[in-house]
Amino acid sequence: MVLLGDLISSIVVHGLMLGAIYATIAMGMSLIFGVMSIKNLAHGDFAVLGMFTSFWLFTLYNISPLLSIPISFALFFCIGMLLTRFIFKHIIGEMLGSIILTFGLSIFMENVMLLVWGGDYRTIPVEYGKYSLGPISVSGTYVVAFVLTILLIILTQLFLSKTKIGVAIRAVSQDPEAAESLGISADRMRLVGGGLGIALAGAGGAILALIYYIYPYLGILLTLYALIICVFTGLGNVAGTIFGGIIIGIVQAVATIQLPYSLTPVVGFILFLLVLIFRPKGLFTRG
Amino acid sequence: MKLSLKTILPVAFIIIALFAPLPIATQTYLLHILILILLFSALAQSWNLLAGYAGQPSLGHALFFGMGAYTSGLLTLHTEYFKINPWPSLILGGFVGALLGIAIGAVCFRLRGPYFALATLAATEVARLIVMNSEFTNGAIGITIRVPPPISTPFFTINFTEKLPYYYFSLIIVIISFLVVYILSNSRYGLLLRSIRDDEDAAMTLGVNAFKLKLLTMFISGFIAGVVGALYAIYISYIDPALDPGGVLTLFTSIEPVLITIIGGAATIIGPFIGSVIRIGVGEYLRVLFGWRAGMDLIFFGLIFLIIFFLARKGIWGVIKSRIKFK
Repeated sequence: MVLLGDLISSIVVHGLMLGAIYATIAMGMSLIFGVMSIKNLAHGDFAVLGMFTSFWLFTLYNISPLLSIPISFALFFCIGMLLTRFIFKHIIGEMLGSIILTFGLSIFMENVMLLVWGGDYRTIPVEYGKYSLGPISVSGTYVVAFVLTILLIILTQLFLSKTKIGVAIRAVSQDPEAAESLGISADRMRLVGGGLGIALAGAGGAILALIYYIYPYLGILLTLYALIICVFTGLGNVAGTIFGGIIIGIVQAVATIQLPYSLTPVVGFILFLLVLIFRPKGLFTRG
Repeated sequence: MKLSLKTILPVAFIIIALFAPLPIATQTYLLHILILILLFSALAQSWNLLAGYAGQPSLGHALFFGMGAYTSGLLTLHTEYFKINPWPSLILGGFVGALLGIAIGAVCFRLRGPYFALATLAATEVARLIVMNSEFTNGAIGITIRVPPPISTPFFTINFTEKLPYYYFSLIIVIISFLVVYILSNSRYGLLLRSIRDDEDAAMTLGVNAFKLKLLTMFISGFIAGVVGALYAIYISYIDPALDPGGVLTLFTSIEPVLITIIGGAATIIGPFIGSVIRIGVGEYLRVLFGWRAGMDLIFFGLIFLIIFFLARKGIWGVIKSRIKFK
C-alpha cells in the first residue's frame, strides 16, 4: 500500500504542476474576458503557437526553451495587441459574435499550423535532471516548468495589482464607463489587456512545451481546459484562476488512476457542469 | 388573394427544389452536395429557433444531432428489426434529441447567455467522451449502417443505393422544419419567445413562464436536430463520433449550425437556408479545389467566414431584408 500511496502522491504532484500551467493560459483568457467580454475560443491555439515557437527556436537556432519563454511572451504580446486592435475591437461585448469569430480564427490557426508543420507529435528533447521529494521523484523539466509558471503568475499578479496600468486594466474590466469617466482610456487598456492575455497564452504554451507533446490540434483541448478553469473561478476573475487550474490539474491526474486515459477529461467536464449549475458565478464568489 | 413575395418565395422554392435534382440525377456528387445543404439547413433552422428567436445560444447542437445519429446507428447495430428497416429510427432519433433537449434545458436554463452556451458545450463533450469510450456504442471506431433495402410500391420502387430518395427525404424534413419554425415565429408563442430573448426578467414580470417556453423550444429544436442526425447517419451510412472535422459529436459540428445561421441571418426563416448554401457550397468547392492539401480548404473557409462576418453583421438575409421592404 505504501507503493500505491507514493504513486498517488506522485500523480497529484504532477497534476498540480500541469494544472498551474493550464492556469497561466486560463489567466490570459480571463483577462481578455474581463476587459472585452470576449470568450476567446482561439486561446488554446495561441498557446499551441507558443509551443511551436519554443520548439522551432530550439530546433533551428538551438535557443534554450527557457529563453523562449520571455521571447514568446514579448512576441505574443505584440500579436495580442494587433489582434485586439484589428479584430477583437469590433466584437467587444458581443457574446455570440465573439464565440463565432474566435472559433473561425481557431479553425484558421489550427489548419495553418497543420498545413505548415504537419500533424506529428513533437517534443523538445531537454533534460534538467531529476529531483526527489521524499518518496516522490519528479523529473527536472516538471520542476523547472512549475517554478517558471509560478514566477509568471506572481509577476502578472504584481503587475495587475501594483502598477498603475494594471490597476487601470482591472478598473476597465469592472466598469468601463466608470473607468473612462475617471480619465482612463478604455481602448488603450484593452490593447494592453488583450496583449497581456495572448502573451500569457503564448508564454504558458512555451512552458507547456517543456513537458507536453506539441501538435496542431491540441489547441481546442487547451481552450476547453481554460474555459473550465475560468468558469470555476468566475469569468473575469484573474486572481482565482491559479486555484481553478490546480483543481483541474489534480482532478484530471487523479482520474487517470481509475479511468482509461482518454476518458479523464469527462471528470473535468462533469465538475464544470456541476459548478456551472450550482455556482454559476464561480467557486470563490458570493451569491 | 394578394400575392406577395412572402407567399411566392416559399412556393417557388418548393417547386424548384422538387424538380432540381432531375436534370442532375446522374451526377451523384452534385446531388450529394444538395442533400448536405438541405440537411444542414434543417439543423441550422433548429438552432435558429432556439438561439435566433428565443435567444438561447446553444453550443451543444452536436449532442442532439449526434445522438439522433447514434439512435439509428445503435438500433441497427443491436436489433434485427432495425437492421432491415432503419426508417422508424428517424422518429425515435427525433425523440431522443427532444428528450435530451428537455434534460439539458431543465438543468441549464437557470443559466444565462455565455454560461448557458458553456454548459451545453460541456454536456456535449461529456457525451462524446462517454460514447467514444463505451463498447455499447463501438467506441471511437464508430458504427457502420447498412444501406436500407429497396421499398417496392405498386407504382415504383425506391432504391436506397441511389441518392435521389435521400434528397426527397431531406427536402421533406426541411419543408416541415421550416414550416414549423415559420408558424411558431409568427404566432403568439413566437412573440413570447422574442420577449424572453430581448429581456427575460421583464418578460417574467409580465407573467411569461419563461422556463416552460424555453423547455418547449428546446424540445422542438432537439427534435428537429435529432431527426436530421438520424437521417444523416442513414445517408452517410457511417457514424464517426470524433473525427475532426466531421465527427457527429464534436464541437465543430456544434458550431456548424451556428456558422450557417449567422452567415445567412439569425432570427430569419430563410437565413439558415442561404447560410447552408454558402457554407456547404463554398466548403465543398474549396475541398475539391484544395483536395491535395489537408486543411487548406478550412483555412480559406475561416478567412471567407471572417470577411462575411465583418461585411454583413446581421447575416446575408438580414442585410437584404433591411434594404428591401417586404409587404
